[in-house]
Amino acid sequence: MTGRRVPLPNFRGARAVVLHRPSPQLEALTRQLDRIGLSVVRLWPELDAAAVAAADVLFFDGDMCHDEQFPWPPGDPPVPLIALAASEAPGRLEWMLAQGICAHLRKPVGAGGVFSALVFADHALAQRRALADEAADLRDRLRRRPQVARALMRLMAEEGLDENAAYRVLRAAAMQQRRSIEDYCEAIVGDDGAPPAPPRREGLS
Amino acid sequence: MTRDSTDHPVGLLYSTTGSYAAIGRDALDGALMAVDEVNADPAFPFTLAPVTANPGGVTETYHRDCAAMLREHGCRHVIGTITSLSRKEVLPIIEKHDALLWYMCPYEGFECSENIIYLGADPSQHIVPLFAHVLTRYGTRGYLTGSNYIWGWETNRIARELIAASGGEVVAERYLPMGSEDVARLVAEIREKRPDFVLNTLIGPSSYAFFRAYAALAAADESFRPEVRPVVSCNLTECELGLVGDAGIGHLSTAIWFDDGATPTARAFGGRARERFGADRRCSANMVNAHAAVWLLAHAIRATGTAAPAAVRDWIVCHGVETALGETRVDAATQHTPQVPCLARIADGGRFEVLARAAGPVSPDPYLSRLDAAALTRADGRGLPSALRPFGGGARPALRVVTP
Repeated sequence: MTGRRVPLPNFRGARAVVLHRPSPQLEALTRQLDRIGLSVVRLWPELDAAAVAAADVLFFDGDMCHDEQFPWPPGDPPVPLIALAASEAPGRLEWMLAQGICAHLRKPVGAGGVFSALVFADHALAQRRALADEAADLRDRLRRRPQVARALMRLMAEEGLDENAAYRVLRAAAMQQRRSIEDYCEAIVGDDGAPPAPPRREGLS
Repeated sequence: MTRDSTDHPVGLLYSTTGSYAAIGRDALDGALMAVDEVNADPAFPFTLAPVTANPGGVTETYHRDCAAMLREHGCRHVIGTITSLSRKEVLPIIEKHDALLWYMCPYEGFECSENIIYLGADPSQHIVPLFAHVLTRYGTRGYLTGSNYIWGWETNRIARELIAASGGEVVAERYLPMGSEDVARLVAEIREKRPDFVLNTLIGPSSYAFFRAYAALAAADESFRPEVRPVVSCNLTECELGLVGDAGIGHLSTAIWFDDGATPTARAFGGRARERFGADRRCSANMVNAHAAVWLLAHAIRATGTAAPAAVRDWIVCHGVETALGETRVDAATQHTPQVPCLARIADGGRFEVLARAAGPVSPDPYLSRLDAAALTRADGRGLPSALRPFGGGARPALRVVTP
C-alpha cells in the first residue's frame, strides 16, 4: 500500500438530507446512514432552506427531481450531492451532471455502497472547491498582469535595470512585505496617479 | 406456528485445507459439534442437515461451493468463510438468493449487509481494546505488518489512525504475499528501527514464520523479548498456537473468547469439546463462535417455525440466546454482536493467559462512528467505553508479565 493517502472523513454527528419521494427503499439507506453515524432528515418535494443550511450532505432522487427543487445556483450545490437513481436514461444523467453530483447510488439502495458514496462525494466536493479557488486566484493574477508589466517597465527605466534584474527586485520586495507580486505591483503603479517610489531592497543602492 | 420442514440443510463453508486450514477445521468442528447437539436435543423438533464443502483456501472456489449449497442443496443458511476476501466473494450470491450468511471471525469492519449475521468482533471490539492496552504500556511507536489483502490493509489503517491520535509513530508498514515465509527483511527492519511493538496481521504460515524469526531475534538481543517489545495480534487463537510453537510465548492477542475456563459456560463447553475431540484439544473463539452460530440458528428456527432467512433474521435481532459464549444477542441496527473483548498473553502448552477482560459486552460499531481515537492513551481512561476501561492505561497499574 503505497502512494499518497487521502485521510478519510469521519461522519459521526454529520447530517444528511434525503430529498426523495416517500418509498420503502429509503429504509435501508436511513438504517445504513445511522450505522455510519449520520442523522437523517427526509424531505419531499420541498427542500427547505434551513434544512439544507444545517446539512452536510444531500441525497436526491435522480429519477424524479427537477431544477426548481434546488434553491441554489445551478451546478453549485452548497453540500455534496449524491444521486439515487434507477434510470440510466441519457437525459437524466445529463441533468444529474448539470446539478454537480459528487457521487451516485444505483437503486435499489441497500447497505452496500453508501459509505463509499459518502467518502467519494465528500472528497469530490472538497477537490472541486479547491480547484475552483485555485482557478479564481490564477484568473485574478492573470487579470493584473498589466500592472506587473507596467511596474516592471517603470523600474527598468528608472533604475536602468534589465528585465530579469527588475523582476528580481519586484519579487524580493513583494516577498519582504509578504504580498503577492500582483498586489505589490498594483500598489506601486496605483491608478496611474503619483506612484509610491519602489522600496529598495537592502544591499541594492 | 407450522414447520415448513423437519430437515433443514445448513451450509458449512470452511476451508479445511490451504493456508488458514487450522482456523477452518476448528470452526467446522465447532459447527458440527453444535449440529449434533441440536439434533440430539428433543426440545428441537427438527434436524439440521449439514452440507459441507472445502474451498481449500482458494478464494475463487468459494463462489462455486456456496452456489452449490444454495442451488443444489437448498440451503438458506450458510455458516462460514474465514477471510474477508472469501466473505466478499460469496456475498453477491448470498444476497441474490436472499439467504443468510453467518460469519463469525474478527474482521476489519465497514460492512453491514442485511444478509449477513456478523458474530465476530468488529474493530471496536478487537484492535481498539488491544491498542488501549498496548499503547499505554509499551509505547506508541508501532511497526505494522500483515498479509497483503484487505484484513491487513484495513486493520493497519485503523492502527495508523489510533497511533496518530495518540501522538505516536508508525515506524513502517510492510506486507507479505499470502503464504509467503519471507520474513527475514521484516525482522531485520524491526531490529534496526526498534519499535515499541509489532502489530501482526499476517495470516497462516507467514505469521508462524514471523513469530519464529522474531523469537530468534529476541534470543540474540533481549531488548526484543515479548515483555519489552511484544508482537500483538487480533486474529491469533488457540487453534494456531501449536503451529506458532514456543516462539509465540509471551506475545499478546485479543479475542472474544479464550479457553481459560473462566466461566461455568466456558468450562462446560471445554469439557464437552474435549469429550468429543480428545483430552488435549484446545478450543478457540473460532470453534465456540461457529458452535454459537448453529445454536442461534436452531433457536430461531424453533421459535419461528421456519428457516426462512427473513423470519430468522427478524427473530434473532430481538431475542437473546444462551450459547457457549454466554447470553448472545445480535444488534438489530447493525446485525453485529455485542462482544466481551479479552486480551491474553500466549503461555506454554498452547494456552492463553487472560490479562484483561472487558467489564461487559461492547456494543458493535462497524463504522467506528463512536470511536474517540485520542481517548485510548488518555491517562484516566476517560472517553473509552466503560466496558473497555480494564484495557486502558488508567484502569490499573501496568500488568507485570509473569512466567508460568
